[in-house]
Amino acid sequence: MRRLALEIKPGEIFAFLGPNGAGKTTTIKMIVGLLRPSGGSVAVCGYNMATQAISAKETLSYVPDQPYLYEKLTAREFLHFIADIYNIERDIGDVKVARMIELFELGEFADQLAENYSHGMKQRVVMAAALLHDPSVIVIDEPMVGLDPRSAKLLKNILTGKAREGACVFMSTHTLSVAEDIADRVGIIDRGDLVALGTIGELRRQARVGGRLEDVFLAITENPGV
Amino acid sequence: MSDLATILRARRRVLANAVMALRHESRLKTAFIAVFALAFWAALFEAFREGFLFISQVQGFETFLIAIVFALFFLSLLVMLVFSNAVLFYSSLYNSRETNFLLTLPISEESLFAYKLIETLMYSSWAFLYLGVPIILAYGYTSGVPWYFYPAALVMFVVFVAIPASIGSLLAILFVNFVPRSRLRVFLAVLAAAFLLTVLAAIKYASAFSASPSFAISDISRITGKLAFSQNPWLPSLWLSKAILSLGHSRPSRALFYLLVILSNSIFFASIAAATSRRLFWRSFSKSHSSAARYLRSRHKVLSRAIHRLFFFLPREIRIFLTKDLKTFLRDPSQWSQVLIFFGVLAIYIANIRSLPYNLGMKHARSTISLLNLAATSLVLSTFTGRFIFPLVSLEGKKFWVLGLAPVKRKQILYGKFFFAFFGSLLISEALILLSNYILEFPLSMVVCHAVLVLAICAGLSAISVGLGARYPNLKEDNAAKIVAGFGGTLNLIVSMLYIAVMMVTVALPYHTTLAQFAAGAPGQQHYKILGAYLALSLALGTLTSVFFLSIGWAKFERLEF
Repeated sequence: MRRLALEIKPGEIFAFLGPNGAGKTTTIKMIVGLLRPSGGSVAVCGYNMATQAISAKETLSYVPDQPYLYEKLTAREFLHFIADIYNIERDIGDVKVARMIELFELGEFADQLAENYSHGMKQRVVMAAALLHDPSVIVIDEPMVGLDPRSAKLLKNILTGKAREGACVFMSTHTLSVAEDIADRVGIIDRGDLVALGTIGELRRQARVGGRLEDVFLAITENPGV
Repeated sequence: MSDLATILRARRRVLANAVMALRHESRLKTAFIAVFALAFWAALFEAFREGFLFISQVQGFETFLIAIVFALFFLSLLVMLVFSNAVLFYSSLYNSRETNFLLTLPISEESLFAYKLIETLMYSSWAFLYLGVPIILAYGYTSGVPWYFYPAALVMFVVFVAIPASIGSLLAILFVNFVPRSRLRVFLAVLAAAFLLTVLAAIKYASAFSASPSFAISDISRITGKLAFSQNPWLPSLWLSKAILSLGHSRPSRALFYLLVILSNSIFFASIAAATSRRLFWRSFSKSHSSAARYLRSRHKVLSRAIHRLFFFLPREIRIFLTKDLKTFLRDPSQWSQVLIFFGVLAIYIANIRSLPYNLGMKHARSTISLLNLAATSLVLSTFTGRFIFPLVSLEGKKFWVLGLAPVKRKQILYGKFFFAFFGSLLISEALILLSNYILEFPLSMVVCHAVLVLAICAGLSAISVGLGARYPNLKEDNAAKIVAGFGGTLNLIVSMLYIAVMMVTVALPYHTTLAQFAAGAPGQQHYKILGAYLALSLALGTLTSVFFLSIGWAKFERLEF
């Protein structure tokens, strides 16, 4: 990554776009504390990710593109584990876990081992876990992969709802229609450089292209001088 | 550290669920594994019991010899545990998706390190207990120890394993920090070479006393003098040995002293490892996750061309699969370095046979050593077909769309894996056995017999691993070690060993016995007839075994849904 300067405001949904190998995952890994930048810094809700990692992570949620679950835990057990990690009191945790199971329609398989889940089911459990502690920042990598249309719609509503409540959503995706639907601002990264940043209207002006975000994205990434 | 307690609680739940899931597994499968584990354990106990009974007959030296046995046994376990802990800790901290997941949660790095250390310790300590308990029981059984010996020895084991776990984790952290990822292959090759040189030096060293024409009580002090390295007072294995022996001799206060020495050192090494982790974790973690892309275009062509020319007699599709599996093997240092080390040790041992006392009057010693070489080579080979060939079909699981959609018969995929295993193992095993025959100066007829027998063993072992790998696949798992640890892997190990035993008992042993009758004169027509019969028998057994196991694998593989 080179000279990446980004600030995402509370209540904002930010879509982070870029071709394969552009540096999206590296950026996300630095934001969530999986990698430390060799220069510069990452702050989440005012906490420096290098020096105040625990405080920063308490405000954050990360949903990776490849969901990770303990295969020998059930969804309910996994959600309780996450509640314990975030120090949510047992009574409140029980209520929140029940609410998430209902919201993401996990009831049918909440007490089965995760090893039997499909990719989409795992993705729903990870989403539920990510929202359990009411995070101020949600970082989400390819949110729609593996979700059925009903779950995808539900997720879009949840993300916009969270943003309305004041959360900041940082979303990396190749599904440009989702970015077009819900993002307040869009950043486009190419070969480690942030080549475009602004609302979709501003990007259209920058690219001198009207119409869909797909056309804007292609114009910017195929013509680096734009 | 409440986050550590939370993670450990979750892991306990994972373990409980895994045990519960066993109830849904086939009872036959669970019973089979349990019986085999118990039988192995009982055999180990019996071997140690016999050993201690033998030592007890060496009047005046028994205490001294038992001390040597304990010190050597625990030193061997210590060395193995340090390396296995280093590998386990590396995979668990730097090469697991769980670490990535945990690092995004508000968990301190100290807790993460402690959790991974405990996890590594748990994995390695069960193996230590499994191997260590039989020697303790055998010693207690033959020596008449006080009642508290057994529980106290168990406590000492548990405290002791923290030392190799801490040293192993420390080595893993330093390794990731100071060995560039791009130089990993070179580093492992150098490490393997250094290990082989150490083995060579050890054999030369040991041969200094093994070449004696007779063995008398007077030699004991000379031999034990050679083993004095195991009595170094700085070795944790010696502290454990002395603690266990003090318990056995009803000297609890001395045992307690050594226990406290072990405990304080466990804490010391764990603290050093924790401090190193605190200082170097992020640097090492970033390094381990940085890409080290290599460009292999020209080498790719050379290897592919060589395979296609060398195996021109195989169908093209099989050659393609063979090339793919060979490339995967050669580009994974964890695979070829293990092969290099184990077969390298065997090669060094065989090359040094002359220093063994086989020509010093023991009747049929030369024949016995050659049979042992054959058995050792076959057994090492079976562990490698079990470790690397058996999981090949399972590892295709998530990538099977590539093979599944390819316009080839599934049978050819299986044959590709069989020929990869067969030719690879044949090359190494024949080289070792021919070297053994050359050094033992066997006649051509014996060399031919051994060469054909090895060919049959390689074919059979390859077919068993490929066939059972296809019959009992685990398509959800990416980790080859976990695939091997399942029912199919255990069955593969047992069947492979049985096959080797059958080949040794029905072909190798009778042929050697028969040959002894002809030893006096030059080989005649009858000798050649017998040789021909044994060659035909070994080839028939090899062919039947190969066809049978490939068929049962094929029957399942053809219907397999991915």
